[in-house]
Amino acid sequence: MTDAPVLRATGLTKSFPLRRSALGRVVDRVRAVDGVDLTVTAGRTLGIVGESGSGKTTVSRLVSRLLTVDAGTVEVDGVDVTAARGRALKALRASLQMIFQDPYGALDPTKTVGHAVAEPLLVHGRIGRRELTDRAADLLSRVTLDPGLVHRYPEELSGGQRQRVCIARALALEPRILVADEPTSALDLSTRSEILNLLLRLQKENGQAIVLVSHDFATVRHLSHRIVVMYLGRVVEEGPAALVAGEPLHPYTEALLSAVPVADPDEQRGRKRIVLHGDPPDPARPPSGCRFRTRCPVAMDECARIDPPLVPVGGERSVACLRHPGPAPVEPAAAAAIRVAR
Amino acid sequence: MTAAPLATGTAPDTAGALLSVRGLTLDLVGGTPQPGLVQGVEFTVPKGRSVALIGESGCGKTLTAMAILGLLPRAVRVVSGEIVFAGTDLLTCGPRELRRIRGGPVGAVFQEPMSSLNPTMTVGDQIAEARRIHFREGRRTAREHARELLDRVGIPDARRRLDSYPHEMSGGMQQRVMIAAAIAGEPRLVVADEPTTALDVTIQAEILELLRDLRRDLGLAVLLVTHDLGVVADFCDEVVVMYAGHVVERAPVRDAFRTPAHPYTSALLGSVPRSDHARTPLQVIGGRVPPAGSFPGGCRFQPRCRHTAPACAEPQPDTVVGSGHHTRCGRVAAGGLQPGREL
Repeated sequence: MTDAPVLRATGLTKSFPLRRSALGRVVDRVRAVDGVDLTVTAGRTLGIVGESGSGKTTVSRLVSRLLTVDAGTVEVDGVDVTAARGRALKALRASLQMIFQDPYGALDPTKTVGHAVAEPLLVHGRIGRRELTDRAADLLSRVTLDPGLVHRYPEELSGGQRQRVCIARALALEPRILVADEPTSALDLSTRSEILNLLLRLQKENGQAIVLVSHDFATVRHLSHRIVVMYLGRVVEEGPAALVAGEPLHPYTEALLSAVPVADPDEQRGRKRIVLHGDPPDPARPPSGCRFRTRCPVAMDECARIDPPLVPVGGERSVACLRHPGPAPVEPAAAAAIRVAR
Repeated sequence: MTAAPLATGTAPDTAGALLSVRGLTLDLVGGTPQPGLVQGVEFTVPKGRSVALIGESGCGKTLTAMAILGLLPRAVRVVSGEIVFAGTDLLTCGPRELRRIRGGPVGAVFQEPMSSLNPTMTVGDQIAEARRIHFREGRRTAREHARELLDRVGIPDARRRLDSYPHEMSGGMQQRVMIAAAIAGEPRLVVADEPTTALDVTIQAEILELLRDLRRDLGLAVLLVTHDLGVVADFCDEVVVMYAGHVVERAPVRDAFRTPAHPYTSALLGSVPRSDHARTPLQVIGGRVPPAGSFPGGCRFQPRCRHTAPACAEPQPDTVVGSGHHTRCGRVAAGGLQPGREL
């Protein structure tokens, strides 16, 4: 395992049109992702956690090149793939594969499981049609599915089995990076643990880098080495999983963690609760200054004026909050205000 | 149609029970008939208490809740059992009495607020409707009460919001409206089927906080159908665990989490990620809930259980293993297995 990043994204920005005028001109946009940086190294899992509208899914699609960026760059193994097309894009698909939330929607109901799993090998010219069944059976056994399922159709499988088929397909080209967007959210409790165990084992065996996107902090905490917390298109906190989940610095991370109930009645009932009030703001009209300030329990006056950048605060972590200014504050006025607030 | 008390078990302690479900058995009659979709389900909801109904999909949690609300699909038939709410058997009381109870003393909150609220009615009218029907209030009084209720469930600017339609609100706000409509009938029991599953976790925390306040202020009992063990640990006093149409365990919440007395309960608990065991394999149950119609005889969990013994093929009696703690595992009942997280 080297420390050189296999995936590095810098300044990712993406907006979507909300409304168009009668002449088809875009008159309103929502900036779903606004200046996000990410780095993942081999054999490591980067968890991206956030709620609806945080932009986490858009980030996963930008780094996978399922969407093109408005601004920013995506590098895989040091190669800029931001604008890759044709052959270069095909090469990217061989090194980066995705797993989606809904294993029902991700499989073609008219194709057999074997075809679904081995199709990437056909497309990339790695095998001929005659080898398809054998290679598919191998791949199925790697995800502990019965190789005999190759001739079955997706509708004959359970949700957990389908998600394994999707994982087997993602593994077919032996990618160095797996991007998994809510891979267990559509599954039952007991099936969820099977899929999480499978991802852990595959990573130990093959050393893939994994980008795991989820709204479920417990899942992200369980699988990740590092965690990125997103709110309204921005990264608000980033750092080693145990620290971010154990000693959160950003008030949003703290509130998010406090909202996840622990499955232990004594512990849960003794916890400090931070209940946020009010709905998250409309992502098309984020508040001025810090985007979390309208729901933040510790917001200060300056938070409406200053948009806090993500700054390193030591211990390999970064936070975007005026209460954690890091070594060099942004603006002298802000630093003074923070001193007063303390 | 009283279910005979089981040999080694006891009928639920009905003293102080607001709701008592006894021997509830449901069959699917349409299409391919499937007997025993829900079989011999027994539990009680005491006054003012919060009881969780948990289990994987396909275990009969929602069907049981729908039976209590008299909202079973046409193809599902009640074969036997009774559901007694404050002295009235909801299964035999007739449609008129059921209409009086449902939306009145028994309120309901469902998972998808958007599909449960009427999109063509203002939220004010939907809440006021309960007041008009159940308390015969006039238009103006009902509207005033609707405003108080919106205020009570934490909707800002309630007077203006009375005239909003559900689609103009966020998911969290819609769920608050649904709770306002549920408490408009001044219920003693609210049946909530996955009320926070479709919501973001910070919004879930707000909704649970609201339900907790309402319980305290109004003395509400809540039957909460959920698959989230964190929510159970947070909110509930007692736990009823269902597997493949059977109640396999009933226990006070602390006992259910500390000393589960059924291998299924213990396996569910083991599949939850814990912060002190990051990146270690989680417990898996293996296999899946059998489809209705192909349930095994005896213990229905035995094909997936790691403690299966020949005796598991026999019907498993409901056995008391502690105060208010019942199991349907014969091996635990016989002392061959010790209750606990290692089960």
